Amino acid sequence: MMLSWLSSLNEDQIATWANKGLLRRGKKILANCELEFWQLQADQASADIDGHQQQLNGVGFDALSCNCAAFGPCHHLVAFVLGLQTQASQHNTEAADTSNDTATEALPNPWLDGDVDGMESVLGKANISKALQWLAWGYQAELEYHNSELVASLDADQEIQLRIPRHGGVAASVCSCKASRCYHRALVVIQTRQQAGLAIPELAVRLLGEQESRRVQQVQHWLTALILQGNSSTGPAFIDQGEVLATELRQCDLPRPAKALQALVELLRQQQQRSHDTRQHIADRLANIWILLRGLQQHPTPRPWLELAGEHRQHYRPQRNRTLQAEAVEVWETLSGYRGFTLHLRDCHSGRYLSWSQARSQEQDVGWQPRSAWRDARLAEIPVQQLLKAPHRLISGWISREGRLSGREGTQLRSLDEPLSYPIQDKVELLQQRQQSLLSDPWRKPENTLAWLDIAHYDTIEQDKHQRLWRLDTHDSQGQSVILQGTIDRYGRKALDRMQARLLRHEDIHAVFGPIWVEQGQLFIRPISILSGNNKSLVHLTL
Amino acid sequence: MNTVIDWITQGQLWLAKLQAVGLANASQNLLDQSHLWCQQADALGWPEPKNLALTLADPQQPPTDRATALLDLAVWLSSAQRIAEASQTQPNT
Repeated sequence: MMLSWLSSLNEDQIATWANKGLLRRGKKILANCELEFWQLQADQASADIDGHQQQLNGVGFDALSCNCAAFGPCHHLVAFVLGLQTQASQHNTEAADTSNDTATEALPNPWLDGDVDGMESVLGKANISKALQWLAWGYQAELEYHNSELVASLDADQEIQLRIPRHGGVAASVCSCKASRCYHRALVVIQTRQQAGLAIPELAVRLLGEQESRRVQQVQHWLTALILQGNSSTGPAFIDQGEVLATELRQCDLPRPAKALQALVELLRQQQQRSHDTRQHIADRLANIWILLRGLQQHPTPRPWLELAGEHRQHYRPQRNRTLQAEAVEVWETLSGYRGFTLHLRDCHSGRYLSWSQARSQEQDVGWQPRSAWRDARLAEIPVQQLLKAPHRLISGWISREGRLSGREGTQLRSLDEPLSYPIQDKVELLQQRQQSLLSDPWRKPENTLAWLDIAHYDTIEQDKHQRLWRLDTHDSQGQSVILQGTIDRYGRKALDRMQARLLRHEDIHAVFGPIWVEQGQLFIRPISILSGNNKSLVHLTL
Repeated sequence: MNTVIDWITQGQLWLAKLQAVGLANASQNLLDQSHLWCQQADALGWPEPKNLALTLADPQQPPTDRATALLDLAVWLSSAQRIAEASQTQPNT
């Protein structure tokens, strides 16, 4: 077993265990070593490098020792392992040459070995418990199965790479966290066992901690108080209290209920300003947050933890080599005093829309204007205006589950010499997707479906000043009805004015882009951008 | 005319009115609107929303229980409405 492990070792594993600098120094010192004086047996090896003695007493880096003064891996041990790897490979080749058995053996999967009870002694009870918690939260490692090893990448509290060799298994595994036993190993082992249909340990801890439980209960008390006193008699102080609770939910890692509560608070403020009839919207928001709080308190939770609790911005997954096309940009503001802009980009392979936004609090950054900010904005050093002129390759970047693109350092984009195209969404397909989304589990986050829809005929714009909405009834080339609807707030009015100006000039509107929804069986879209005029130019309505 | 969808819509409108004025301030007339709605729930064979409606409309129940029943009913109706909307979202719309 030890010889198989040594011969299967590669430089990536050694660099993960030690580091690249030690690997370089180890290689250098190995060049001056006389390997013929080293001892290599089936379960033990020893050497003398630079006057220090090295030992290997079994499988795995933990079985290595050197009597130099360094703590942990040293360049002597790296040279020792590299030399042993060469020797073991030669030994295995000779053994294979003399063997008559030519049958191809199945690759071993040592991470699946053993039963559930045995996992505790290999991985550690605390590690298993933490790994189960992370898996219940919805975290999964990305697994790559190679002939010599399993490479697992995990972006949890830090970016982790774990390598489990097929010869040697978990005992010989190396993790970039540098610990010899960690919850990353436990998570990968449990995940692979789950995928293989093998038994896994049971989660024995509650996902909602004491502090989180207290916050959830406080929000529930606030909501019941709201129900008892009524939406219409709430004072500003009570609404402010709701906003504080939303912030506290966010701080204790429950961003989805925080967002739901914030949305409710905004509607209550709108109602106070009597800007439009919000009664039914408030009822919907109440149901939305209450179902989340109920779900979070159940054990086990009815849906994966991350689906109920949501994810903070930092929980982005690394992504590579995707073709993205920026198609629309909008500026917006919220009643809670935030304003910003959002760029919508289509992943050309999957058709999914991603977004990249910048926002500021109006109170804290008085001079910041979203319109001028978007004109000056850069994503991966490329001006955003430039991104709208050609498709780009995302060489490396980070994308959240919800489809948010991060602009963090290390994001690389390259312009592609390809024409722009705006794919008109097939309405039947779109409605089928929407239907599936509606019929899915009630805890599932409703998807914001963005699409380009074609327009062939349209009426005149109607305004509902009471509801503060405008709408334009249209039909596509197949005669199917689509209603364009927007709000009459600061930026919504800008969109309305731009639409009206085009209609007055008798400029054709060929297609419209925005989020879609269905009311009473009728398809609606909130226009963000349009293709209009003879040359089908792209117009962003809120700019 | 769709009985189930109308019943869901009526339930939501009733809850919206109760939420607007507040359970503590709701008139007996408004609370009594639960009677017809509960009869329809019986006819449709759904005891769970009916029981929630009875709890929230009963002034003898503790206020917190009534508020919780209202919120639970709002969730029930929201899910029911979602399924109803899906049945209306036909691809040949």
